[in-house]
Amino acid sequence: MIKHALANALIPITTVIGIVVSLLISGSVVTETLFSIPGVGQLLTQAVLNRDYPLVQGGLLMITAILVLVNVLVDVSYALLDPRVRHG
Amino acid sequence: MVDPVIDDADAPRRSPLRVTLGLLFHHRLFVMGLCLFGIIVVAGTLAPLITTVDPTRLAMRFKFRPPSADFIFGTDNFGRSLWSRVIWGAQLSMLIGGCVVILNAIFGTLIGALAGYFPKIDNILMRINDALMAFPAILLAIAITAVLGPSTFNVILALAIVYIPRTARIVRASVIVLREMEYVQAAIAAGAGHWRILRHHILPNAMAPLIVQLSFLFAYAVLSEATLSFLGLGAVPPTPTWGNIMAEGRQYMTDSYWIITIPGVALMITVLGLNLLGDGLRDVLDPRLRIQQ
Repeated sequence: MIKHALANALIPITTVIGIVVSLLISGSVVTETLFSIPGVGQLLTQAVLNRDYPLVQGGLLMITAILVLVNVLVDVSYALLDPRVRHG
Repeated sequence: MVDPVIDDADAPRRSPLRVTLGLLFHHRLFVMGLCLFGIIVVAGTLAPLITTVDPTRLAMRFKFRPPSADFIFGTDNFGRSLWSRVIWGAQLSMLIGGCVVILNAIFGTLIGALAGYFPKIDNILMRINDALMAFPAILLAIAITAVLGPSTFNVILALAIVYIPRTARIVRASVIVLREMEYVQAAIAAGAGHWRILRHHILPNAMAPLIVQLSFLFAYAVLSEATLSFLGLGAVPPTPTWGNIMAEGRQYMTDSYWIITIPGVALMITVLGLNLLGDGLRDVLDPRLRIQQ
């Protein structure tokens, strides 16, 4: 089972990981404000409320860069998981 | 042998719309979703009639009253009637959700149809789309409202900008498939113009996935609006929205649980209703995706 079934199940799982990371980060904005956890989410909310635009831009750019990186990693891992993709 | 066409002519004619509606009303979950969503829409529309107290009127004598016969949903930290506030909040949520859906239907269809039908501008439009979609939805909405300033109109604008690329993508996907269909090729061969082909041959057939998507989009828009006003970026207090009622009630959560619970339940009913409605629409309009029973 591990060798045959799970190995093939990994592809959709990695796709979902990319989406989940994006949801995780946008969810952190609310959660960090709610429980006053000092994180990027709370930093962004504070920056918005204080009209600190450079900080908003920077934070947003960093988060988006992380997400793009995660999605690139997901795409690369397709090739590792499924040899058929490699020559595609 | 009996000609089947004549047979059909004898039977009562049923328009496609009536057939679809008939199927929808036999779909149990769809009807349930419609009822849940209907409750919120009716409550929001009838807000001036079913609430007697101004949602912003302060009455410090009555603060933190639990739900009772006098105050159906209790009162908040300023003694404002939570019933009034939640109902007026429903009106605002429905207004914002409705506007975002309409803007998406117009601009999403326009961009999606242009990108799908004209391969030359497809690349430009879709790369802009990709760039917008790289941002997480809520974060981009936060950034846009940060620049524009918090107000109801800006929330509508921000949510529309955030969700239009996603709608455009869905329309584009169905337009690309339909463009290659034989009947479209036949229309081109018959000399039909681009506008006519898009309007009469492609868009009517691309509507089904769009309608399904728009019903889910309504749910996302209502949720995102609540998130934005929870963070203090939505409609400016004292205007009641579900988000800012919850944000205010958060500090008193342990003693006066009803302040945060009631708008939360209202939000849950709306989103649940819309998701059931969307599932029902998908089952009926998009038979390929129907779950085998």
